[in-house]
Amino acid sequence: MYTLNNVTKTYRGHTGELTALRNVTLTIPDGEWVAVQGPTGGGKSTLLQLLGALERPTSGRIDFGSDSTAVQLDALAEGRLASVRASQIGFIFQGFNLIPTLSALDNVMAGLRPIGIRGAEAARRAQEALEMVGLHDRVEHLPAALSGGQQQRVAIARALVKKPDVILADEPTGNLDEMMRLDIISLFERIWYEQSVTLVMVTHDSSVASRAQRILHLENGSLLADIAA
Amino acid sequence: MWLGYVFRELGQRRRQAAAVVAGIGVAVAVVVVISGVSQGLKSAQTDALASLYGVGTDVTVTKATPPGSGAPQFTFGKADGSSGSGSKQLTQSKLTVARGLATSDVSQVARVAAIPAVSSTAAVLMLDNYDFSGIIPDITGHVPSGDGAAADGPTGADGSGGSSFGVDTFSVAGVDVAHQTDAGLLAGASATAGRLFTAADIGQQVALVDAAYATENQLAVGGPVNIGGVDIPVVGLVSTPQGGVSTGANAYLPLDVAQTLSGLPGQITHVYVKAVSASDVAAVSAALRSQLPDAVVATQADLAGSITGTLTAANDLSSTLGQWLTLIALAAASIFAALFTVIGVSRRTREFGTLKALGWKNRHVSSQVVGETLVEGVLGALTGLALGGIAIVLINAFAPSFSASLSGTGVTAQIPLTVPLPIEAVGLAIALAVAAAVIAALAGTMRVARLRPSEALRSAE
Repeated sequence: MYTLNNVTKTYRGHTGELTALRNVTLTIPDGEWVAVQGPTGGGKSTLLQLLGALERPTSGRIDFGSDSTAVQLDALAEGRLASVRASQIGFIFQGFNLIPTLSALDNVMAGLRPIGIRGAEAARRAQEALEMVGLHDRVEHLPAALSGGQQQRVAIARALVKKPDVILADEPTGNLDEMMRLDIISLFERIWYEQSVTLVMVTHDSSVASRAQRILHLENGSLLADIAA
Repeated sequence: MWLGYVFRELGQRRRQAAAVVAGIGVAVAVVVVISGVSQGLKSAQTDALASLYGVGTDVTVTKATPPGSGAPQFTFGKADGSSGSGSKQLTQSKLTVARGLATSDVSQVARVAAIPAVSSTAAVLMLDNYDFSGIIPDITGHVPSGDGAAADGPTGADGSGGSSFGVDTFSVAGVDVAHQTDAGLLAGASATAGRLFTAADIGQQVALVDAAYATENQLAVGGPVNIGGVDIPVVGLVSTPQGGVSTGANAYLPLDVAQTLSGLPGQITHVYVKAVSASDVAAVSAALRSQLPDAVVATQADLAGSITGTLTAANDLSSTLGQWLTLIALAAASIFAALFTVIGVSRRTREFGTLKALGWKNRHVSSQVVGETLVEGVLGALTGLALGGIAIVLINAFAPSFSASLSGTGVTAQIPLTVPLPIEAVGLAIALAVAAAVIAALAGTMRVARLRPSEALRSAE
């Protein structure tokens, strides 16, 4: 579960300050599928980075986890944030972000290295994750030998292999054609249903967003609408 | 997976990896060659010492050189020479004490031998043989003209008056036959043809010739060598144990014969001294200095310092320039590798950002960079050893030789440079390559530590 209280994120650069997120307060319960929408520069990716423990807010508070194991993300050191990312959060990127020199199996195994699972056990789990996304016959293929949809399936397997509490997806269908887009969204639906995982997905695509339980609309860094589907 | 990732990444970035490997390799090769040449020069210096002083000599005793001693003068009377075709042929040989040396009475040997801890002694009379030959215009009976004008004598194209002179010089050592193998120039030497001196040669006009000098001057066993104007039969050709290195003199005579031919009866120039043990050398040399205040007493260490010539110059250059070149090579390789590593890390922002987003800590990502640079370092070391080995083979193929002389004696040896591939150079090469790789890895990991995982998401926007 996420609890954001009055969260603001400001970036300081050479050209001055840019407030990407302003006073956002919201709660995301465990197991919910949330779609985040809004125009470019509205703060969607910044929200995802804060939820994913990739950035700390400039002000405000972010609590993550259930009551007994909740952590305050904005107060954790970088090492602890990395541990949270490693064990509890799975990322899926628009550009897939696979390591081009590693096979599908090795890419998935890369998700297990920071939690200390290696060797045969890591290979077994990675194989299972690839079977779950329908790529059991592509384990030794390099990303360049896979289609866009297959690459995104590998990325999904990499996010799932550590059995995370939350999956954060940034435009996961943005680089796919219509056929693959539907294919991947169906996969997300199945995973969300079967794994009981919290799914936060940034998307421009309203047809994708309509599958979610809740839609957050961000504009100019502010939470403009919080819509239950 | 980690090793596979390391090798696949290096394979993917072949050009960059090859540039780093080549940079480290060249630096390692430079160090290997410098190290080899330095060892070769040190070895050559040892050979030079053995050649100029003989194997096993611990101390030499000579006499201070009197000021003004120099090359001999050749004088000819009117009746000297053979005339014909308007010119006169003049030849003369002289056997004199070697330039820069003074003689002592042979009784000095007994005084030296009486000093405690002296194991053996060998006396030598070091001589220079000069063969003068020349042609001058025969002006005998020429009468100036009556008008007072200068006579039209021959002038010669070079203004030498039509004369032509030449002096050939070689060194001759009179050796104490009874102790020739104990210490001194022939200690450790062997006969490559014929034989060494025997006791029966004492008082006999027989000569040994340095093998290299014999080859150069077409001298052979059984043939004569002209020393002091006397043709003396050659009974052996001698060489140093090092092989290819010339001995300390061009020709050798029994001591008494050398003294007679040079007109220096009972005189010697050197006493070569061997101590009972290495630990006695200091005490022996101190006793010699005390008991022979007029003598010049030199130990092996002193002798090494008195060697001059291109060998010493090369060794000095190798010592000073070599250290600087090693440091420069290390610095250049490190900077080169670090630069390429940092550029590589910067180009892989998305990759490393993704790994950090997956929960990889700095140490995980850094271990990847360190692994890649270490592999580059090891490949650089192997490349450098191969390049250095090839360079050493080429140097040895051309086999440059250096001259080594003993200050003031005119005794010169030609020492061929043989460059080894020193075992410690392998360790040094690996250490250098690893040092360059570690410095590069440090630069890379510093860049990794500054990398924010959110870069991975940004690059996707």
